[in-house]
Amino acid sequence: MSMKNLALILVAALAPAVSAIADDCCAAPRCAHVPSHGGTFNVVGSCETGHAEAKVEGSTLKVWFTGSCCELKKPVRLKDREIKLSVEIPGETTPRELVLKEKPLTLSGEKEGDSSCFEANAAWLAGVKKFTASTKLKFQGTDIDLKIVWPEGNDNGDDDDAKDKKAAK
Amino acid sequence: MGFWSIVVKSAREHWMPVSLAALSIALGVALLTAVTSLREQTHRSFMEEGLGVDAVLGPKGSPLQIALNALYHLEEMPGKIKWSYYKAVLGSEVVESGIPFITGHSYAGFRVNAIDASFLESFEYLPGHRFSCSQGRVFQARDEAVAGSEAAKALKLHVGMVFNPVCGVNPGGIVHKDQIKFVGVLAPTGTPHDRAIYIPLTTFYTLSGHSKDVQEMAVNEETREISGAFLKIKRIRGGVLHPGIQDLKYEVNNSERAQLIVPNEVIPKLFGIIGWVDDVLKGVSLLVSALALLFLFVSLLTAMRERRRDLALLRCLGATRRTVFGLILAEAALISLAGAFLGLAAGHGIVAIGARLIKVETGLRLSAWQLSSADIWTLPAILLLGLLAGLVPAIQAYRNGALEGLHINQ
Repeated sequence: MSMKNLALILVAALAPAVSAIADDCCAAPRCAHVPSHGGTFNVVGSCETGHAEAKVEGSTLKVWFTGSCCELKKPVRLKDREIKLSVEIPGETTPRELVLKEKPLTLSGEKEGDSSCFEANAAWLAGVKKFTASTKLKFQGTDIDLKIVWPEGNDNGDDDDAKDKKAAK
Repeated sequence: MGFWSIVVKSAREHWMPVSLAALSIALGVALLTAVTSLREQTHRSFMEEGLGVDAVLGPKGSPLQIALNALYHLEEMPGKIKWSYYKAVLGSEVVESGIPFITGHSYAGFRVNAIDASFLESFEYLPGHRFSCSQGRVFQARDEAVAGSEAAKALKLHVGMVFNPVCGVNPGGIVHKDQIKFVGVLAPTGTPHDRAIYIPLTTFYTLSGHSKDVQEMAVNEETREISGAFLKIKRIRGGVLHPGIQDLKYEVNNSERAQLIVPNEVIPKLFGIIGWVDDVLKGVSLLVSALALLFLFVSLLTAMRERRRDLALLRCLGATRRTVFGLILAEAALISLAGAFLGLAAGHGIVAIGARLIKVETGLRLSAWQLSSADIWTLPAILLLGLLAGLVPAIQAYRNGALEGLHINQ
């Protein structure tokens, strides 16, 4: 066997390993989308703009507004005192209204009119397994559409990461 | 002559290579046992100490540095937090109680921590274990102090002695003129708390030499500052921490004033940082063990070649091929076991020395008698590997014919 053939065999044998390593690097998530409160992320506009972490506990819906893809642990404060949500529940023809009221994180230094956390209470929430809540809000100075999908979440960034991973595999 | 007497006599006959093989195995096993035991015990101790405190409220800075300072009396606190902020956190629905403290003073190399009296009265340093005094009582007045058992032992402290706290934790700090009297010595706990001296929280502010602003903190809660606080978090069913601790952590950590550290999340990072040292030591031990087994293999092979005539004679006297095969394997097993036992004993000896050093440095109490995973798998593993090392010489002995062997030395 000539040296050239030996080299070709070596390259052929090592190629899958090298490719796998390269794929792993590409498949590494841009940033981990780990909710701080055990809820699910919903993008505010786009992944690069911000997120709303939503969590339903009994008859309470809690929403924390956070930063972009790589600043998910940083709260983003809104000036709104309340946010009106239009909630669509599967099987119901008319959307319900739910009002999120600010709940400033005082230990973070938040105040009324400068809060990143909102909360809504409604008895019917306890019996709802799925819903989509939509609204328009001013987020970091820009008017943005927000769509909260419970319990799946509505996080494009996460989807992109998942797609990247699938593609890499 | 019985089978085992032949094995023992043969080993005695070749005592030099046999002892060297056993010694080299012992060396590898000792290293492996010591590294594993010290590693397992320090891991367990560090994790357990964290369990005494659900969370530490501290200033902004490295979480690991704060955990090491607050719980292990190492490093320095990167700053202070406001008393009013501590009180606000205490008001959280998930916090059951808190123990404020101030670090940053020392005496003869031991930390002097100003702490709320509830620390000595109701704090559980391990589940179900509270501090008690082996001498005297806990502090009650401004000029009183209590010493941890290790600090008391090292500095020969006893009730009635007085000392002057030093500003800072490094040599050369300003010595306060205040004379603080030891009124108690804590019973040993086997935790880093044994290595500290405790004074009342308010005593810190009023120590002579502290600025007017600091002196004022004793009475003015608005300006008062502390180094941090141990927090006890409410439990839910099954003794599990209230899940609201994550919300509290998020809220506090996003403030500009403080941070909340959960020791059980932070301390494992320490092992993440120094984990490679463990791996290197373990690698060295495994390498030494492998070399020892190789040495055993070579010495058995050499011994077998030297003893071809003896083995041939044995065959002539009626020993079967199987007996000869068994003799070599038994000798390999004997050497391996002797090496392994010797190594285990030596390994625990190393742990005893290491434990003493670790106790001096960190206050953690490790035991030479504690069984580690290495104690369980070393004996069978070394025996198996020893038998494997003896297999080739044994097969050679099995194959050699009696007549062939008799001709060798003629």
